[in-house]
Amino acid sequence: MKVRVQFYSQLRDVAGAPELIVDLAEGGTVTDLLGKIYAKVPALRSRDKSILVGAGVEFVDRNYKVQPTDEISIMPPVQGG
Amino acid sequence: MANPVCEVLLTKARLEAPKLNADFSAGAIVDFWGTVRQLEDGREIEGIDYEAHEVMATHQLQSVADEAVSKFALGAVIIHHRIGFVSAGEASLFLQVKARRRQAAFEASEWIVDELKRKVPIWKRPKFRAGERISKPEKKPESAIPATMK
Repeated sequence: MKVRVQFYSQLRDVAGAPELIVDLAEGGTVTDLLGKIYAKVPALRSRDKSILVGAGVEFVDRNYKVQPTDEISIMPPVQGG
Repeated sequence: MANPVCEVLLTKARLEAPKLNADFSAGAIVDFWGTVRQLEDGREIEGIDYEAHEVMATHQLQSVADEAVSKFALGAVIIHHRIGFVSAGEASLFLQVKARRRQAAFEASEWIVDELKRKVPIWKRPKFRAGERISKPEKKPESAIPATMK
């Protein structure tokens, strides 16, 4: 399946683009997706421990199974307030 | 209190306190303003650019407000967060909490700001006086990841 991935804040700068379309097998998890993203953008791998992942409007953990309709957000730690 | 009010807003407009409409029946009303400091890491800044994942941030703000109402039995929560460029000295956050007692109002206010800083996808980039624009350093990873993700 094709998954739309959007990058935010500093991670958009590191990725060099606001979004990517990633090919992911059905049933693939966030961990699988991040592996594909790091293969395309190796500079993001060093940020792995701090990266937050959203599916739609909710945060999801690394074991979350990505759905074909999900819009995935790749985000650095939040800094509001 | 019946029919608690939850209002959240992301806006590029300058923040203003909503009118109280002379409604002081709550018992305790706490207003909190978060403002942009003149210095960032010891350096003078012109202001801060706030970026948000707007749809997700609005949803997360609403979740925080709803949870606060339930957790602290509040009568009202209003959270307004500015996005875009905010000059030093201007407000980036306005929070108003209404409760029956001051303890709940103060505790809820602090809890809401803590949760906001943990869960709401908003990021800032200080604009330094010299014109240099750098990203604010990330927090340590462990403290930055929401508990729901651990």
